[in-house]
Amino acid sequence: MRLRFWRGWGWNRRGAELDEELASHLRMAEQERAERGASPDEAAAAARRELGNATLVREAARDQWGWRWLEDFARDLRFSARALRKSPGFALAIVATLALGIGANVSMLNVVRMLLFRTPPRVSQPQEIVRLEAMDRSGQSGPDTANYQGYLRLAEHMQLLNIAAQGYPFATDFGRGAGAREVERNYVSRNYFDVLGTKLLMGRSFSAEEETRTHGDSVAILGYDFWQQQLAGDRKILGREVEIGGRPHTIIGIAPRGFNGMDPDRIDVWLPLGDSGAFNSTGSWWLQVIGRPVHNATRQQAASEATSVFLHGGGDSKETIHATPYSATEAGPRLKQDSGDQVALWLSGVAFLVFLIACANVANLFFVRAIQRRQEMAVRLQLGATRWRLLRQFLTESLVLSAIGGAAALLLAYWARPLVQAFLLPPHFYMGDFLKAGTLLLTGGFAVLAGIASGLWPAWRASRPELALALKSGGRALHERSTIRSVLLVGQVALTLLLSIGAALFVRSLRSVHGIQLGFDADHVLVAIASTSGYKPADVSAAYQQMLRRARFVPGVKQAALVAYPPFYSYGLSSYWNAASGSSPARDIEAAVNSVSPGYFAAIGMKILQGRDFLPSDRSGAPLVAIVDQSFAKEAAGNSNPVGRCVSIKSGGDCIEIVGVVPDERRYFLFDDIPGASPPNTVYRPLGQTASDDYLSSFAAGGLVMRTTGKPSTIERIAGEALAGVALGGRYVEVHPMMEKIDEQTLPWRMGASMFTLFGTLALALAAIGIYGLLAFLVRYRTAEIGLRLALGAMPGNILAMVVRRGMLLVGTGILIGTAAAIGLARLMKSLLYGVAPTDVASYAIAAAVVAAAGLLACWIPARRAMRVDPVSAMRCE
Amino acid sequence: MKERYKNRIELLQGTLDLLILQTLRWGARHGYGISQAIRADSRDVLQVDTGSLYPALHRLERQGRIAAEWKTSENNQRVRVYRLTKTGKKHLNAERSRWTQISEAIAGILEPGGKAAARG
Repeated sequence: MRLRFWRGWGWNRRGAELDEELASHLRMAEQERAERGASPDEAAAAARRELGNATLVREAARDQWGWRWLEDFARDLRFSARALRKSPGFALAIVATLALGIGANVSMLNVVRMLLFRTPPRVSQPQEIVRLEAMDRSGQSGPDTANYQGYLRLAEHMQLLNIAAQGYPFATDFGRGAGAREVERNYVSRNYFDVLGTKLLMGRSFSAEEETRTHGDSVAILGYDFWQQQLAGDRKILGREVEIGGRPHTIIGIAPRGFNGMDPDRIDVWLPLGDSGAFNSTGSWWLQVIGRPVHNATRQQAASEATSVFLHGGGDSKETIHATPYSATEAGPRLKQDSGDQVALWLSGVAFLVFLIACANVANLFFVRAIQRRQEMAVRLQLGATRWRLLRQFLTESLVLSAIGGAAALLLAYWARPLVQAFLLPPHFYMGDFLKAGTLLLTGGFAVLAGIASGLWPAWRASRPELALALKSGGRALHERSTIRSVLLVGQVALTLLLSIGAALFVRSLRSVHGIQLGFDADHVLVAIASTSGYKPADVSAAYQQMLRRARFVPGVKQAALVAYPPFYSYGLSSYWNAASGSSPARDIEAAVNSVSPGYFAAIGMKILQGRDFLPSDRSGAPLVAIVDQSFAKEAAGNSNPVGRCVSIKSGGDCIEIVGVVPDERRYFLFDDIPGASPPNTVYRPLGQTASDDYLSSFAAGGLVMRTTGKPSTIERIAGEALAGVALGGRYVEVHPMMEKIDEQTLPWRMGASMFTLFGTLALALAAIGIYGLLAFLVRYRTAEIGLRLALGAMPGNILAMVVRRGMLLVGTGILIGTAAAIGLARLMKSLLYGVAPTDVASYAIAAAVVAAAGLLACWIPARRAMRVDPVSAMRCE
Repeated sequence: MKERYKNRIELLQGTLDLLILQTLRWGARHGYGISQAIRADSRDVLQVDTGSLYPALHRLERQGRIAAEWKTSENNQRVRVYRLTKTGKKHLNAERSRWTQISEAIAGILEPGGKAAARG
């Protein structure tokens, strides 16, 4: 692997020519002397004397070519490659360390960039896109600006804006029977893709006629991910007919990969505007009008034009139209108060700490190497090498290594993409292409930074002219030499402790999050939701009853029951209840209402604390009954027995008798600290008494819960297939483990705990290697001294203690500094933690203990080696 | 040791270039020929050593003032021959007039009378 790339540039040819030129000079000088009568020997000697030092003449001439620096650089590179090949272990350690450090950063910064600076994929110049908003005098605005007629009028008269329309995403049915599934659809105008500058992957957009077709066959354009994942990327899908939302649709196009319109919410299917039930309605404004300015129009010009068109068409004169950048949020950086984004920001900070630790480790390794090579350096200095030359040599070496490390980091970051997608990004998030200029620039920047940060100081020290002295002292004069390394190590230990404390706090937060009392046991629950829109409540109830009967025969299902609002799937409704009864005064109690079938509490794992479960006999016509949760029971009955009491929805309404009490439950939010999110109490009614009530028809069954014997995910598919057979009109039934829904809310903590632990472990390993390296080095260089001590009667135990003390002093100092830093940073982390104080003593103690233990282990191995030094051979070595 | 050569180049810089260009004025020559010509024309006063000559030649070549090619000499040896280019000629003329000015100025300082006489 000799670096001879300059050969192709005619470099060597030119060098050979110079040699030849000088040789001819010499020959001519010789000849002339010989002609003047000198003997051949004399002539040759005189000519050579006149020429002087041929090498220096050659070098001086080469200098004039102006490529000297390149030649030197090439020589440095060659020398570095040779030196590194001679110590592959050293090179490997540095490359691996840097690859981890840089790779972690590139991945994390990519995530931050994607989360915070996300621009709509596949939309050309998304910052140009505006949204037209009607605003009244008070500045109230809504994004809906038009019905179809209004949109047409705008489209017809607007000169300055190329406009298109889109509806709002909503779930609908796709397909029938076995392949039926739920999809997110949006209605868009036929020029939507043109205005956004998006080229469809396959097929075409809607025609004018298709846009206005409100009955019969329609057409659809599919999203790329949906087409890939649900339809296996079938290229022959164009022209196929599929039922969407109860209407036959011919698939006419596929959107390009990643395209999702202007919003981040996933869209599976784009449908023509005529598909919307509101198409002909003049009352509802169901469209958002978006546009791209043309003819260099400003937003203000476009807005005033839109306003005049709007007023001309009989619009409300109190309103004006504003053209606001579509999503100031999407186009520019957005710093949401979302914990997920914040955790990602924190993690990139953490990744940078890991990078610093990696650099410190690499710097340490370079120090060791510099010290090992001090004799070589001394010799070169004595032979006239300049300090700058040596410095450059060292820097070239560290830059070569960091460049290789950077390349490895790029590979690492590429391989980590699936992990990043799974752990750090919202589901369905389009990551875009990996190899962007930004990624490469970032990696390169980190690599150069690492090379300079870790190589410069050791190189500076190693090339000190005083080093020449080292030659005389045989390279043994090294008291001060480990001071900087010690400082680096202390810093490393401090940073490691910081990360370990972070990891401990996050793990404890995650445990508190997992420890939140849901009031039920979601671990073994599957939830099935069927598509029922457009059906009468009675049909929906009948369908769910049939699903319930079917579910009981699915192997692995222990219990099954129906519920109107499955927890974590829908907010549910709330109403005011009146608990007037006998002596106690009438009081309004706000409570969420849910309806369930008999056996629901057993199926979802809720204990009935008092009274009884609903029975099949609790149907309409029978006495009205309710089961309430503990807090409601307390509000309604105080400390007396709530069972048997009467509550009513309105004062003086029908008496509904409380027949049972269950624990409080989390209905939708895992964290109850979201103010006003939902009332604290819940009242359960039997489905048999609510589903038939017409005006309370929203209390028909809305979900089926199944308690499984094993892990719910193992029978997810079987259950789905079994239930799809009895679904209403062959529509979809979605079956998922309930934990999946709940986990969406625990993502930030899972992410924080896993990433902090990962980075913390990485840092711990690096720090331990660093400590080990320093002590092993010290022991090796002090072998003679240790031998002498042993010979003079020191006990091996003393030697062990001496080495361990030296190492643990560094670890202890680092722990102290790290603890102080952690306390300083604690305030900032407060909002990210749950159920644990940012200065939680136990977390700090555990983290410190782990770091100390790792440090001790790292000290122990070299200390043992020191203890076993054989005094005789150690001293003979001298 | 290298420094020695460097210093000498710096000392002669400009002047040496001028001499080389002047030597090439009447035809192409090889390096050895140039050094011999300078020596002969200066009646052995100026001796250009190779450590200065070749760097100067390569510098002038890089600056485009002279061009080089390989030729076969009278006694059948391959030699590198330098000739003046157009820019080199221009440069030579400019340098010559500058040199004349400088040497007149120096002469004037060293021999005030002479200067006056010249004026008068």
